[in-house]
Amino acid sequence: MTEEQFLELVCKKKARDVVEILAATPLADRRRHAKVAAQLFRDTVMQWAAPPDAPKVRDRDAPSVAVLATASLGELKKLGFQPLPQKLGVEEVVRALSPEWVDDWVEAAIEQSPHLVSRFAPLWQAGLCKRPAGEAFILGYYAHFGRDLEGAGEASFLEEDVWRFFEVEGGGEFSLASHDKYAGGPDFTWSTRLLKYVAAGRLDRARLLDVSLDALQRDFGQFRAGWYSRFHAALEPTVDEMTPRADRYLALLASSVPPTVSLAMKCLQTLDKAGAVAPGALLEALEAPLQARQKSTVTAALKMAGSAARRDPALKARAASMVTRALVAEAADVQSKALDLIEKLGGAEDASVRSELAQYVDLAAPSVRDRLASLVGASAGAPQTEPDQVTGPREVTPVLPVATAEDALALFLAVLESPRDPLMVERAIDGVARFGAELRGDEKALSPLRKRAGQIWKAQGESRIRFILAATGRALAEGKTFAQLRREVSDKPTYQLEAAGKLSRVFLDRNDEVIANVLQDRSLPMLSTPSDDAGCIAPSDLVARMEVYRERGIDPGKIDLALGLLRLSAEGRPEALKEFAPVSEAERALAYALGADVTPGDIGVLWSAAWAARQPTDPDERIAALFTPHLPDCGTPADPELKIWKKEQDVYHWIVIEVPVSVAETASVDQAIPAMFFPIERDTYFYRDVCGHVFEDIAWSSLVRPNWSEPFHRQALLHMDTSQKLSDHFCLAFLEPFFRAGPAVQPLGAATLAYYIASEDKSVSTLAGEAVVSLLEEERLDAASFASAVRPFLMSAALPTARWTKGFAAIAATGPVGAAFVRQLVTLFLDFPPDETPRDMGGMLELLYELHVAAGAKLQNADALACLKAMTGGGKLAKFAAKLVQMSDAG
Amino acid sequence: MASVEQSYRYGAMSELQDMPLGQRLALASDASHAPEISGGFLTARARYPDMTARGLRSVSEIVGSRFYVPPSMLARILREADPVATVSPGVVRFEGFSACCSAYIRLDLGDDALEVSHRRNGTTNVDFGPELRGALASVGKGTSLELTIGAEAVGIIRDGAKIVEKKVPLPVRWIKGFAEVQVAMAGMEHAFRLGRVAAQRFLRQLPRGKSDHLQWVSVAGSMPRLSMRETTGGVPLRGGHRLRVLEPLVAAADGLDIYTNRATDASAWVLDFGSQRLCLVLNVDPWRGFSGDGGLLSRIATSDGGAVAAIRAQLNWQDRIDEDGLADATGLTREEVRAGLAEVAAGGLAGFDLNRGGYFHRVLPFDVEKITALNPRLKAAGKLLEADAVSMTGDGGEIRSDGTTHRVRADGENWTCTCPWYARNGSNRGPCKHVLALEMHLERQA
Repeated sequence: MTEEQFLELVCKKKARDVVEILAATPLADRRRHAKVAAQLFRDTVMQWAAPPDAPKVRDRDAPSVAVLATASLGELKKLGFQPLPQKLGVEEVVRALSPEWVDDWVEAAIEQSPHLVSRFAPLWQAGLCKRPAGEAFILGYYAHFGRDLEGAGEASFLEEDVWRFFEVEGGGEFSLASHDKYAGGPDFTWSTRLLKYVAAGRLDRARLLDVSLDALQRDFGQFRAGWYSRFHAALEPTVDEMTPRADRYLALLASSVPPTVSLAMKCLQTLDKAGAVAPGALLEALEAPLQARQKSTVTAALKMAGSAARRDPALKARAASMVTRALVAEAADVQSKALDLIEKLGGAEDASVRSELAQYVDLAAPSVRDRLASLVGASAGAPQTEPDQVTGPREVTPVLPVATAEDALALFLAVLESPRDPLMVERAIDGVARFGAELRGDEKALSPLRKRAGQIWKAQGESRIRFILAATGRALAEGKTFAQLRREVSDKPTYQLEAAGKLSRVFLDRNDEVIANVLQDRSLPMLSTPSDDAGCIAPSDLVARMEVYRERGIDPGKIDLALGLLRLSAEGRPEALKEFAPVSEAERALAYALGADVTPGDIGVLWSAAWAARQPTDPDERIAALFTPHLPDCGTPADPELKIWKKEQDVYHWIVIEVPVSVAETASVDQAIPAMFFPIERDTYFYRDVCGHVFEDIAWSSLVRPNWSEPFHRQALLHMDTSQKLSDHFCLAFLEPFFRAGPAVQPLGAATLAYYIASEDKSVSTLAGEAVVSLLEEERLDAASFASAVRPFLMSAALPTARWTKGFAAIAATGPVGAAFVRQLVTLFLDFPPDETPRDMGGMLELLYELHVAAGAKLQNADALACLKAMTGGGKLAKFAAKLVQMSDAG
Repeated sequence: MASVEQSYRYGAMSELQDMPLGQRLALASDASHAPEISGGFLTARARYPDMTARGLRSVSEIVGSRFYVPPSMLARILREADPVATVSPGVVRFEGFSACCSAYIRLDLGDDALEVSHRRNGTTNVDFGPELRGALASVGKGTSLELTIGAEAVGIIRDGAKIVEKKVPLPVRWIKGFAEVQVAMAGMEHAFRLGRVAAQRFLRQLPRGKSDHLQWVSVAGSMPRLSMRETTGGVPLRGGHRLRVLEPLVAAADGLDIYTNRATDASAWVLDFGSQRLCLVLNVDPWRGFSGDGGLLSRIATSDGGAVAAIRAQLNWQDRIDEDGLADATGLTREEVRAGLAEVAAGGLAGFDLNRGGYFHRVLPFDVEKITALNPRLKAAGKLLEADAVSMTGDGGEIRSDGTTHRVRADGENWTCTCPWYARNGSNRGPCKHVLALEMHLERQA
């Protein structure tokens, strides 16, 4: 058979005929066509859309059959074991072709995709191959509940395979737990099916009890282990059945899987009640559950420890000693229960128990600490009534410009790899401005930059800032203008340098201006380079830089200067103005920003920046008039308003945040201008991410207006999704300004902190808490303003209150300053009517109570006391409301 | 991913056996790298059977863990890479390395933890499957536990065969990391110690699930604190869930010692039980293997092997290698001994004991030396040298590579380079290929 004949056969005949003809062809002849068959299979079956020049096949099973008839096992492996006819039975193909590799093929194909078990089953049932022995074969059962278990299949299942269910854990895709979870009802679960076999007497119940315990001992993952504990429970073992297995249950108490421990606890409770477990053995086995993370497990273990000591009074001392371990629990009520039991067991009179208890005094909850301290005869320490000394305003460190061309290049190469630190990025661009002209003459030195910037330019990547850095690097190394670079990508709509309405556009335009000077061999300081690590520019620095431009007769870049104005420090303006005699429009804009009364010119971007630099801003109709229609924060204060509410649809609800401004936002003729003022623009459904959507871009955006972060935090509020958990959450960058020196936190900044504390992403919530502590130490945040920020979130009931409780507890745990702040903060919340009490406030009140105890303080706020007194009902809320009232003078 | 095939050959399968007076943990030793030893390496009775069993379970758990899943990683590696046991005069050690190469664990059983009745110095792989790990959960405080390594076959037959053989493709970075983690440990300093209760509280506050945020652990008063921002003296930690392996054991420990390597940010977490210690070493990123840290590359690239040969001649299963004694015996300076020992460790011939503050001798049962030369950076530097790409300048050199000229300059004790690798890593992960090439060039000239 020639290659053409072979191709014609496969393309034109039905698969069944292809099998018949190739089966009659000697194997050596068939093997000659293996490559052609494989290529045909790739072109026609492996691709969802065949390439235009691919041969047309009449029967899509025919190429698969052709591969099976011609390929070696290695060649099949290269095709990912995919050739498998869909309509034609695999049994028929294998029977006709009798491939020598059938056993290995079946094993490997099932290993790769356990779903194939049901497809291959007819082969071993017909004796055409060996029954696979690997784990994947069992996973096939997990994948195919509905697989035919009748006849021989059922017999081998009941005799052999089912017992391997208790050895093969499976993984993310295939496991008994995931099968049963998504089975669509109890009638379709493996658990029910096995129980039916037990009921019919076809599976050995005792053996199932044993093997399910074996499985629980195997360190399976929690989710998958859960199936085995549920199955064991579903077998409903009697006391007689559990008694001989008591040691197994005792051993399982040390499991690291909480559902396994719960099962063992329940069984042991039953055995304990029946007196069927030795108290001594039970007590020793309780060591692990007494220290479990789950409150319910510890509470149950405490009861069992008490029971063991009751049944055998000789164990009292040992039980008291053992119970001390439960004090590692964080919850005050658990600690309290442990102490109750220790006292009941006479542990307080036992020196060794007291010595063990002493280790927990410092860690005990404040409400338990005194009691514990008196038990061990120690002092609980004085209450922390006076907060530590606050550190005061953060010191700023000057940002020094790079000193040599070599340093400038090294720094630029470093930020090109990681532009996460915006100050370094700005220092690197300043280095280009100062030493770019000198570097241009050194081809060799620039060669690494040319290569690396070219690579990053090609890859584009997620970060706009990095991409623009690459463009800047290319411009420097290749002597190209940004206009030339733009032309390179003008036909690639998804690959543009400009990103409309984003702050990266400001970065781009500013760098464009810097490069334009460099390409004219000018060495100049960049106007917008921050003077210090707060991101601000000292007015005297900006004046001095402007004088360099004046002396050399060079017009400053508009965007560079505008950015410089936005970064102007609030300190030292009058002094700088005294020494400054403005001439040009750019200089007059600087003078205006410094406080001079000058008449604005007509360069909108400069005058709007100069206006924004004067904080607090008063409307200036002369500047507002430069924009038609008026733009927010361009001569007219934006006056943002925060709106928060809970939106509900069917069973779902979510939080909605909007921050409208008093001036309508519209696109401007110059997109760079509104970008500098953080506009809000909706794409189809979402607000445009003006600051970017990766850490690097947002971090750079945080430096645009370091003195006035409200517009930045407006974006922070709009772009946080509290349910999103990421390994490198981009919203962390929105918290960066809080860790730089700056003014007191403004309302949107406080709202950002309040909102971020409720993030499910632990990195975000933790960092927000740390930001709060840092701001407290610098006296930039007070309890009243933060309470105002948190209240609308809490009252919206859109997110669980427990998230704030946890966040506040973490803040309180940082020390006396944090504790005092949280005490005031929570007190200030308590001014709502009883019918508007946020859900889950009980935990918050417990925290407030513990903080008061720790400080030896009484709740004295009249509004808060009235609010607490009005709370009715039971549960934690009422319990701690009552305790707080009792501890007050009113109580 | 480059890998080498590792063969394990066990005379039997390891098993926890019920004996008339307790239990016997019979660990089968690998006969493919060490000859069969009559009576095996060890027969001993565990003085603290529950703690020894739990420690061994932890070693096995790390061996079977993959904290980061590179797409090409083979599941088989997880199932079949076995721990390494070393029997030496005063300590029996069990070492394991996670499949992702980011976590190393070692259980050191001092003489106070074992009543030894037979001991033969040596290192071997031990068969340690999930079945055995499960069985060890049943070992309690009151159990009498005999521990044997490589004693006569216990008659367990796996898959109908008396001999158990496994062939496992082990990634080169896994083997190299296993060896080089010792060098990272040698560069660690003690950061702080947490008492038992504080350590327990700390481990309990770590998330149960995967956590890849970079955090800093520090101590305020006696309590540990986790911070998202760098703290003075803080120990960096990403992937804190890797520490969960310590949680079941911490309640029985006297304390938790934390060490850190300030250059690589790797950290070691040592549970101190008095007579035994469980040491978990973590690279700062779960996706980074220790093999990439390359702290020794300069040394390897420029070494003539003389110091290493002299040191190797003095190795004799010491529990703690006395550096002064070694200097006297070899005529090397203390610095040469220290550098040579690091090279020996990277070759798999020594481990580092943080508690004793020194190296100990053992021979990893892998062909570590063969693969050291396969280091990609060393190979690339060699190629640059062959291509005559290095030229000297006043304060360093220029290295031509693919049409680019990288400048290497002296910066104090380190070199700087203009390549992207240096821009990303600085000097923290060893030298880049350009620096290596320059160093090799200088060595040749010398």
